Parts: sequence; C-alpha cells; structure tokens
Amino acid sequence: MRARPRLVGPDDVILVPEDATGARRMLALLTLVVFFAVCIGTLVVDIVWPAPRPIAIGAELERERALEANARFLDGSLATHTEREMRMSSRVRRTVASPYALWLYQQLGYTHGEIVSGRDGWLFSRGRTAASFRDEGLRSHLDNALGLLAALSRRVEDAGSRLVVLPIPRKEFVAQEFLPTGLDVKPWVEAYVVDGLRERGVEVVDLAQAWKDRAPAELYHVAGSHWTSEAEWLSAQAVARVLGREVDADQRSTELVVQPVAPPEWDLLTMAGVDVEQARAAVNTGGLPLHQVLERGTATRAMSENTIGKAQIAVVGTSFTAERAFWRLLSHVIDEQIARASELGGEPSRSLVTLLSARDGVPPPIVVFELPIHLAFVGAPFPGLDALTSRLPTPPLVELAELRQPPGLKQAQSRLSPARTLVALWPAEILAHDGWGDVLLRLRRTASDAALRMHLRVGSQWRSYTWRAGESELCLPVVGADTLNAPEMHLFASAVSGNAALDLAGADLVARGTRVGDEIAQVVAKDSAGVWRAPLTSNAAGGDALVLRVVQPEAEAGAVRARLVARRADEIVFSREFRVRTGETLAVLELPEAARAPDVELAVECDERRIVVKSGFALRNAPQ
Amino acid sequence: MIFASAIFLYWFLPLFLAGYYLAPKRLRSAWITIGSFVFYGWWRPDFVLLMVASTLLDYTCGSKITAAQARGENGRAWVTLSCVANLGLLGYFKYANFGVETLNAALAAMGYKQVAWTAVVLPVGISFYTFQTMSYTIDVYRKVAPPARNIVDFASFVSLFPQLVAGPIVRYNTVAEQLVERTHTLSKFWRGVLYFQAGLAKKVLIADFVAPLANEAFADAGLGALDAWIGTVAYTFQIYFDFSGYSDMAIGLGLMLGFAFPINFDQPYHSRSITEFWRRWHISLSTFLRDYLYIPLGGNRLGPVRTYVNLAATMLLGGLWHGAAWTFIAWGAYQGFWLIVERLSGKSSLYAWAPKPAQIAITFVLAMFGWVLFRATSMSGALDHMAAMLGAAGESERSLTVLPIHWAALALAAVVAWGFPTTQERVHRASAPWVLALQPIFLLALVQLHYENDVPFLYFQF
Repeated sequence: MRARPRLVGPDDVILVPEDATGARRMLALLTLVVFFAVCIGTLVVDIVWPAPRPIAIGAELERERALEANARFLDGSLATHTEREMRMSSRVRRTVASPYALWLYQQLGYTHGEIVSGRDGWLFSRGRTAASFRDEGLRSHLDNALGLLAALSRRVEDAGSRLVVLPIPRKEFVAQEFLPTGLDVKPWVEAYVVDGLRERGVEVVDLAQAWKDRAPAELYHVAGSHWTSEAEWLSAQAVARVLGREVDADQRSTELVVQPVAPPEWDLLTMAGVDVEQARAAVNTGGLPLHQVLERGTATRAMSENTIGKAQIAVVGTSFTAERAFWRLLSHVIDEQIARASELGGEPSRSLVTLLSARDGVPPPIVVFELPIHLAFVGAPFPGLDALTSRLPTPPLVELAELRQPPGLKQAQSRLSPARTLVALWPAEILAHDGWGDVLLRLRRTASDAALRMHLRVGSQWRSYTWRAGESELCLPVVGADTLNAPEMHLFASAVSGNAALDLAGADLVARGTRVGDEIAQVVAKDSAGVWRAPLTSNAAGGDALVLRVVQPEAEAGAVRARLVARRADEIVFSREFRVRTGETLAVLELPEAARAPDVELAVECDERRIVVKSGFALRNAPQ
Repeated sequence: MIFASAIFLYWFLPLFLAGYYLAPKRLRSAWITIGSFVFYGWWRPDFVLLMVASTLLDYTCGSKITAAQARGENGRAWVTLSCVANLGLLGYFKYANFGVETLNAALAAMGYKQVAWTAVVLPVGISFYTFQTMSYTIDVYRKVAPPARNIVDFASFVSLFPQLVAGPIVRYNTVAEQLVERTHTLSKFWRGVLYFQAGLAKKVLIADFVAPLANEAFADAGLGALDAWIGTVAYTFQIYFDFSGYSDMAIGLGLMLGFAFPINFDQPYHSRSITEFWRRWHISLSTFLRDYLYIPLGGNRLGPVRTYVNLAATMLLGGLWHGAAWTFIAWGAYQGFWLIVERLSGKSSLYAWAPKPAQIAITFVLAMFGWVLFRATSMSGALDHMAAMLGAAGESERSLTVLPIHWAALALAAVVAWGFPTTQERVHRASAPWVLALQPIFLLALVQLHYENDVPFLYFQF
C-alpha cells in the first residue's frame, strides 16, 4: 500500500505538486481540452443555433407570461427568468438530454423529479400520488375541498340548475399494480371523494365502479397522463345514466364507429425529458380501440365555442374533457347538444367561470363538472372553487339575528389599498355548523370603486376571493371540515389596485334558505336515563336544516358535546354531534332526507350537562 | 449563481476565466471583484450593496487598527466595531425572524399582543463572508496578518466567488500573501479542473440521486422504522457529497485563479469518534470556531469544567451559525454533548474497547442521529423521525419510494465514502487511469445536469 502523500501545508491549505514530465503535461492538456471544449462549445452552439422554445398552453402559458411580466432586476427574478430562458433554448441541452432521458427510462426504469417510472414501462406523476401526505392530514384537506364542492353544488341548485360532479380516478389509482414499490398512492382517496360528495348531497358519477371490469391499460395510456378512448366511452355512458337521459342506440341521431387502433399518448415521457419524435418511436402503438362519433345526415351534436351560452347541458373541466371525444360521446349517448366549456391546462373552476360569464352568471340547467382527483394533491385542493361562489346568483338568505355585527367586525370604513390590509377577527366558536356552505359571511359596501382581494381564514383553512369592482354585496361560504366550532375566523381585505373603502359594520352571518314552519319555543332538557334530552317539535314543514340557539348555562363546565337526534318509533334514523360552548351557541344543522319526514321526532341531547334550546326554526334550502 | 448550473458552467466560467487570464496582472484582483459581484448579484443584485458596505467597513477598520498600532495604541475599538457590525449584520439578517417568532410565541402564550414584523430575507452566504471579513480585522489586530494592500485586494478577498456562498471559510491570513502574489501554473490549473470535475460529479451523480429519498423522508412524520433509517442514511450521504462536492469545486476554482484554499473534508465517515469527526468535517468551520471562539474563551487551559463549558458553548454557537432554529441549536448541543462525553472518557474514544470498524460504525450512527436534528424542519419533526428510527413511532402511515436507482446511488455513496481515497489525494496523485476515468464521469454529470433542473447546494442556506 502506498503511503498517503502530504496533501496540505500550513493552515490546511492544499499543496499542488509540479508536473515535470511530458506525459503528465499531455494528460493535463487532454483534461483541459475536454473541459473547455464542453463549456465553450456549449456556449457557442447555444448562441449560434438556439433551439425553439417549447410551446406552453393554458395555465402553463399564463405562468410563463406572469414570470416574464414580473421579472425585476433588483430582486433577482430577471436573472432567474433569463437563466430559465437560456435553459429552454439550449440546443445542446435539447440534444443530449432527450436520448439520455430515454436511456434512463428504458434501461434503468428511472425518470427524474415529477415523473415516476413504474413496472412494464408505466409512467406516473409523482404529484398525483400522496407519498408525502399522512392519512389524517389528507382527509382534512379533502374534507375542506368536499365542503367547497357541496357549497358550490348548493349555489348551482339555488340558481335552479343541477351540478353533476364527475370525479376522474387517478391513473396512479387505476394502475396501482404497476407503481414502483413503496409509492403510497392512498387508494382510499377515490372512494372517499365519491362517498363524501354523496354524503353532502352532491350528485356524483362513480367512475371507479363504471371502470371496475377493465384492465388499467384499457383506461389510461401507459406513457400518457390522460384516459383512453375506451375510458371516455365508459364514462360517457356512466354520466348519461346518472343524468337519466340515456337514449336507445337505434334512436340516436349520431353514429358510433369504433376503430381498432387508437393512437397512443406519451406526454409523461416528454415531460420526463424525451423529445416528441423519440417518445413516439418508443411507445407501443397497438391494442386500444378508438371510439368516434359520426354525424348522421345534417344533425350537429357539437355546439360551437360561441354558442355555449345557449346550451342546456355543459361540460366544464380540464384537458380530460376539453380534448379528445368525451363530450361528443356523451352527446351521442344522450342524443343532445353539449356545450364543451372545459379548458386545457386549467382548473375545472376556471372553465365554469368562463361559462357563467358567457351566460350572465346563470348556469345552464345541467352542468357536468369534471373533477380530476389528482387536483386534490396539487397545492390547495381543487383550486379556484372558492372564487366561484361570488360568480353565482345570491341564494335566498336568512339573517341569523344573533350573529349580526359580531364583536371584532365593528371596524368602520377602513381605507384599503394594495399595501393596506384590513384584518378582522371573529370569535367563530359562537357558531356550530357543518361547513358545507349553508352558512355564509355576507359583506356589503356602498362605494364599489375597486376590486378587493379577500381572504377568509377559518381555523387552519384559507379561502381566497375577489370582490369585483361594481358589486356591492359578496357572500362568502364558510366551508371546511374544521369550521364546526372553529375557534376563530379571520377576514383579510385589501384593494387589488387603487384605493377602496370597506365598512364592516354591515357584515353579518346568514344562512342559505328560507324560514319554514313555526318558531321553536324554549325547550329545557330533562334528564332521562343519564341523558339530558330537549325534544323539539317535529319537522312538519319539511325543512332541510334547523337553526337552533342552544345554551349550556353552567360556566364552569366549559364546552360540551351535544347532538341532534332524529328518531322514528324509538329507532335512531340520524344523529349529528356538535359542540355547545358555555353561554350560547348558534347551531345550523343539516337534516338528511331520512330526518325530514313529519313522523320523525327531533331532539337535542347531551350526555354531560343540562342544556336549553332557547329558540329555533327550520330552513328550507331548496329553491322556491 | 450556483456552480452546478448552465449559466455558470457555460457562460460565466469561460468568460470570467478568459477575462482573468487576458487581464494584466495588476487588474486581476479588480476583475475577480467585478466577476464575484456579478456571480453574487445574479441571485439578488440589491444584496451586493450589503457586501460592499461590509467590505468598506472592515477595510476601514483594518486600516484604522494598523494606524492605531503604529501610534502605539492597540486599536481595540476598531476591532470591536468590526465584530459588532458583522455580528449585528448576521444577527439581523439571520436571527431576527427567529427571535421575533420566539418572542411572539412567548407573548401569545402569556396572552399579550404580538409584535408586528415583516420577515427578513436571508442574504445567501452572509454567514460565510461575515466570518471572513471579521477574520481580517481580528488577524490584523492580532498582527498575524498584514493589512490589505488596497481596497481592491480586500474586496477581491471578501467577494472571491469560488468560496463566497458556501465556503470553505478562507481566513484572511491564509490568503493574505496570495492576494498580492500568486503563481499560475499548468499543474495548478489542471488540478483545479480535476477538483471541479470531481466535485461536480459528487454533487450531481451521488448527492442529487439520494436527495429525493431524504426529502421524502423528512417531508412529514408517519414513516416506519426501515424507511426512517433509509431516509436518514440518504440525508447523511446527501449532505456529505453535496457539501464536499461544493468544497471540491470551490477549491478547484480557486486553483484555476492561482489560489490555494484550505481543505474542508477529510473522509469524515471514517471517524472513530465524534471528536475525530469534527477534525474531518467542515474543517474550515471547526478550525475557525476553535481559533476565534474556543481558544479565546480559554480552550482547555482553565481546567476541566471550564473546558466542557467552552466546548458546549462553541458547539452551540456552531449549531446556531448554521441556522436560526431550535433544531440547529439542538444539533449543536448534541455534538457538544458527545465531545464532552468523549473528553470525559479520556484521550481514547468512548468506545475504544470496540474493534475499529465497530468504532466507525458507532460514530456513523451517532452522526446520523445528529443529521436528523439538522435536517428536520422542527423539533417535533426531529423527535418523530428519531422515534420512527427506534421503532417507537407506532404504526407507519406512509412509505418511502425507493427505486432501484436509489439503492444504486446509496451503494455508490457508501463505496465512495469508505472505499475511495479523498478527492485531494486523488487529485494530488492525478494518476492517468483516474484522470481518464474522471472525464466520462464529468461528461455524464453534465448530461445529468442538463436533464435535471438546476438543483441548489444545501449549504447555500447557511
């Protein structure tokens, strides 16, 4: 074994020996030639022969434009942008990275970053799995998103329309047998979303059920991120069944033609760095059928882009329904014209905003809302949904007199600007509700000269809204899983540009619906077999929800758990728990279908303390 | 700008080197200063002003100290001003957010109104260059180094881009002579290139390949024991190959400009004790802390108890230097604890009874637990992760995605960490087979870099 040479001098400074021989100098020169040939060669090639910039679409394009527009010298963003541009137009990068990426994919089963390489060549999006999430956090995340969807569904319903949500199972769920070992995809999420929507009274299409007999490769492209033509066909049929509008095949005015081979998709492979031509050559082209809809005679099922305002049925969503043939297939199955309002590269909510804008805020009678479940894993769940509520007509509202001008919101006439934000704190624990959009914060303003950016924080959940210039009232649904007795609610408001005024003295909490039936008189709970029970009058007027003022008078006891119980002939048909703090709590509680019948007895019960239902009334949420 | 980026490799470096070697000798320091400002300003141009202010202040202090000492005074006021200003700068930019957050947490717990505060952006590399400029005034004050010949030389020392943002920490007295006169030879330049190539390969082909495992492991709690260990091993290798790779590149770039920098790593995972680990890991920091903190505090000259206190204080401050968070303080305390325990046990290692491989293994495991504190984003996260490693975290709620390539990268990391000589030894010998083998590896690293997006170095955050 050779002795270790002396490597460092005083202060640990490295020592460099002199290379005296010609051979070593040749070696040195060879190294320098390699080093500088690569560095300078790349510089020259990229300057002289730059590669064309990749084409961006949809949200990606918007992001690129925003980056360019916001690039500033002083904060370094201009440098970052310049570097990014150089990288994207680098010919050398484009030339060497693509075959390298393909080699890594094919030989080592590896792709970097966002794309995950699975078994048998399957590619997945890392962001559409949930490896970094814990179940508990993810459930809370989803509950909030489901609350938002329920709120949206109710607002659409208030406008006299029907919202049918089409959750699209992730590729990572459908083809989980091809995932690499250890990638935890949280397979319960798909069912959780469907069941959660159903539980909250939202119409939903269960595609996992509709697809259950098919192999993954029949439903998703192996190297692509979207569903196959076969999956589209199955899905169109499933939607038609939920809509109840399936038309017999021989009575349809269009014809379905099935081609034996559909072209494969490979967008995930290109996202992994392989250029289009190499990706096309690398992907297997055989096996999948292509469903095409042909017109019979002169009938046109598809509506042109500028007629979406007149449609009776519209599909909103993302690339799943904006591209390909889903909407044509649905149109074929139900034999009706469909407005395809879905947008590429965006969120489903954005296309609904576009649709509403084209129709003066009034939704069409049926809206099919495509909801790719993978969006639950991208930052805020199902982004943009919160902004939608201000675009829909305001529903009938009941003022919750007890919660008018709550403490903390009595700040008068704040002057707002982009730099000046109003922050109002609200003790939201005075309210107990399920967070599905039945309770709203109503804000009013007299001067409506500027758009305001609003953020509503309930517990740990943030919602963002824009209060558009010219609108004098804004109703923000208080939604989310932890809104039931959330300790506090914050409202932040600032002007998007210019100055604006906001008077919070006019703010109040309201409930969606109209009052029905008689006022519930004071009911004191009596002890019955260890349970304090306050029987209510039956729901003779057929309300969908109850608003109750519940009091727990014993200060030392703190908050207690109470529940609304519905019984038919001593059998419990429904029970909903809520917290009653010391003093008074206002509870806005949804009644499911089973609890609305006149023969069902309703009561508020508590195992811990005596409680008093001081007053209350029933709400009917359905449009009049 | 980071070394492992296209803008640095294909634009900045060739143009900078061309300008440097074409410039007359007397203008080279000025060229280094200009190039370094561009290098640094590429991230945030406004923070160059901060560095200029720091440079002017310490140059002035250095001159005043020399003038005062020429008059027979000691110049203590000026060295104090320099230390207060530099530590104040560091304190404000690095620790103000932490201090206010901690204060607000305490105020909130006591029911008082919190202090309104706009978060301060941490200038990249401030921990390194404030230490370096401070070392200048202290070295001049102690008369272990002459004052800078002129402001340009001094500015080139402060801003010297190869080691500006992540070290090694180059003390003024180490390069004082080189700033005035340094040689440029083919041997130096060639070895500089070899250092750079090897460092880039370590960073891109090892650290970046194990990084996803570490990132995923520390993203949240809920891992099972095996996954927690895999994540910790991944981070243990990531931080070593990332940081030592950066140091190699910095040393290499220094050599290309004729500077000889101190080494920063010497096979740290070969250490048989934590004491030895600190002689091999981030050597420029540990010697800086030793010479400018531990020894001035009294070192081991004031009896055993004071020695332990000094050790603990030095390691705590060393931990805090890495970042303003309780996790770094805990990491410093953890290191200090083991140094004290080893010193208590005598000159030999605490586990001297064990055979050498076992000593290395035990030290490695102790270092890994330290890295958990270092990497976790909160104390609760660190404790959760350690509990998972010890099988005490209950049922696992998620698992790591360990692909075959990750196993290969971990295996390669282990082979290089324990089976290969150090980069400095390799480069010193520069044997033909190694040099020839390094070239395709370097090219592969460049292709990999083209393929991946640019990934920043871990030590930029400190």
